[in-house]
Amino acid sequence: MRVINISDKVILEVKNLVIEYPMKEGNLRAVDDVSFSLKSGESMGLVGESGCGKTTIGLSLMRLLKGGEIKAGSINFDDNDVSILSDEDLSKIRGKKISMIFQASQNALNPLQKVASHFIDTFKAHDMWSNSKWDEINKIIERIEISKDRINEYPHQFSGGMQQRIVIALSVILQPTLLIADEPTTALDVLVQAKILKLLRELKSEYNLTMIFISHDLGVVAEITQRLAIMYAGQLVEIGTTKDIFANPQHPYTEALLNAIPDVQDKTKKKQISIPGTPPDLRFEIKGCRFASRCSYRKDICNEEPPELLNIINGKIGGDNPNHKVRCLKYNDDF
Amino acid sequence: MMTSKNTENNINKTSSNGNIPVIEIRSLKKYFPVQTGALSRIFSKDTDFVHAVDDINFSIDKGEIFCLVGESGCGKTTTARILAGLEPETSGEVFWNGKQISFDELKTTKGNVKTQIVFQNPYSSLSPRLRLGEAAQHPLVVHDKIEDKKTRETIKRAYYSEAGLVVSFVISIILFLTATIRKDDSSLWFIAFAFITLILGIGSYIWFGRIQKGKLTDDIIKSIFNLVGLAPPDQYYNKYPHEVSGGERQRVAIARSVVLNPKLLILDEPTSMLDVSLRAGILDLLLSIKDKFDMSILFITHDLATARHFGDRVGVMYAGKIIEIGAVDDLFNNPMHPYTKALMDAIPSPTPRDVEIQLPKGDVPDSINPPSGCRYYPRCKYAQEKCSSELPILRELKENHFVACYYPLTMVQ
Repeated sequence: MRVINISDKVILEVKNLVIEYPMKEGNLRAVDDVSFSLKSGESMGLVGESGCGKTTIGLSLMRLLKGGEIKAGSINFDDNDVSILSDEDLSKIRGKKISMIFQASQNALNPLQKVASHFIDTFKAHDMWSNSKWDEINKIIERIEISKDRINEYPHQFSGGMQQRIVIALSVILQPTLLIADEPTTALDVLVQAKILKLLRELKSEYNLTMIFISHDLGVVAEITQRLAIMYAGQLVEIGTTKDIFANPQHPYTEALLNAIPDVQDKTKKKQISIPGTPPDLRFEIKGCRFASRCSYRKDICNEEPPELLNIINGKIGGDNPNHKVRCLKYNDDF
Repeated sequence: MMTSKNTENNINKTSSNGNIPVIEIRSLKKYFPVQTGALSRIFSKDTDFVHAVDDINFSIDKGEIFCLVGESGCGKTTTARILAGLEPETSGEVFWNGKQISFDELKTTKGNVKTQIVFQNPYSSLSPRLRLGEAAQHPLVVHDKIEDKKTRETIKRAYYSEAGLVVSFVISIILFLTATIRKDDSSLWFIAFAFITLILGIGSYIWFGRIQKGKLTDDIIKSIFNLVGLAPPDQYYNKYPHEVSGGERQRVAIARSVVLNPKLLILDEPTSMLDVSLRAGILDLLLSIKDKFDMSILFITHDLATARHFGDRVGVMYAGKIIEIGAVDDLFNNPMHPYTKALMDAIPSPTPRDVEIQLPKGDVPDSINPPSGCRYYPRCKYAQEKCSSELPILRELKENHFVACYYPLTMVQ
């Protein structure tokens, strides 16, 4: 059994976050009224199709958005509101307290720099460099199963999986509190992927990291998270513990996503079902439920009334248990 | 029933039902020379080779879906490219419907269409300048298969008008330059001529290359668009790739690959660039057109789960070798090669699990100097001395289930 230490201290609280990208035809609302919180030591998965806003949220937590603007809401991290912090204060947090593993992060390594100097630069950027840090670097290099002698080689001399492990080591060397991993295994083979996931799991408990894991692969998030937030078209449609959501998906979109992934262990060869249609165009205002046009439970009311994210317990809306929430009209009494 | 006869011929005969397979590959090899610097090329005599595909045998039956699975770099895509005639082989034999042919004959040329390929990335495999209808029609144009005379004429004119545009540009630039160099009374005439040429060029291009061509539709393409789920076809015919989603692009790529009616469709990871929600739809589509066009399919993927749900038979590749072949159910319910088992275990399962999985140690071997003996032995936890010195060949350990391993899992357990 994996042992997970989650304390009650809330580390990150995102409240009513709205992010828009200005466009010719009007603003594209990539993230619409998203709220969630993370306790220390917890790891949460952010799942959805491409374009649903999951990466935008990840970037906004460090205010790295390019072209996007935070229009409303707050991001509380360690008693600071990241959304209004000055650049100077922000640079103290970026990379040190909140760290990020980017999509296709092999490209994050500078081809002209030796691996060692990547680590040195990371320390120097936060004025923490001293020769005694060599021990720390050597320790983590061995931790990620790369020989100490190879530290003076260039990134291209390593395989894709090794490069990814180096990037992960770089992201945790300053012992951040929060690690945002944006599809860290998407470009990798299954065996390498399994290795990276294992490493992330172990580092998470060794460094007591709190983690946000962004992915479109439900199988991967099942391996590494305790909580899941499912996003669709800029909104959270379901949030709950990973176990609950896999055993008992409440939102039609979550259910459809689970039906769309094949399972290699599945001997019955259950038929995979794709989700018809495409997500809505976020440049225009959407009346009613965003998933309505693709939903198999759809009724007329879905196109009229936008559903809210509400607590759900035993398949019934209500209760004061905030551990499982869903955004669907299906659970209304008069549906 | 443990038989250990030499199976090279055996495997080709046993194509699951005894029929003559559509395609049969025997001891296919592909070595890529390693590029080295000029100096080292002068001073050292031997070139190193990457053993991308190293002596593989397999066959695909009529109407069958054969999957090749493995990690990146195992040689599966190279195999696909050789079968599509995009890459010359190093050595090997190929039989088409039981008749030996050369690998050159797999190349698609006028009057010879055996295989067609669908690539992984629909964002780069469609030309951004061709409308979707044109893209799908293009193979017919190249192969002179457009029946309608008027359509043929229009396409030809559009083609010439594009060339005309370039020529008129060149001529007018020359005329302009002449005018600036001469700087006398005749300069004006040169400039006037330059303008006229330019306008003629642009005008004919707009008329023939854009307006006339834009009116063009093709009933064959429309019916194929309907088949691949691009309905209504009129809406898609005149769109450009950037206007549609990735799933729709991949459908166009599939439509384009079947217009020439190939007997073997090669799919190189056709769904790996697409969102999970769209994958099942594309696979369903492939199944239905396979029957409609009476094709066989070679399906290249690194996703074992997809192979299990989509394929009939599957071959697992590791470091240029096929290490296990069998019917999907057989192979996945009862994997015999330790590598196949490791691959299956490593796949993240949608059902959260509590136990740590055992991963093979180390990394994929160097393909320039592959290990002696079994390619997998340095990582294999069941490896014994024999594995490091002798190369295991594929043996039929169960009916139609071939494994290249001295200590297959059923025997170990």
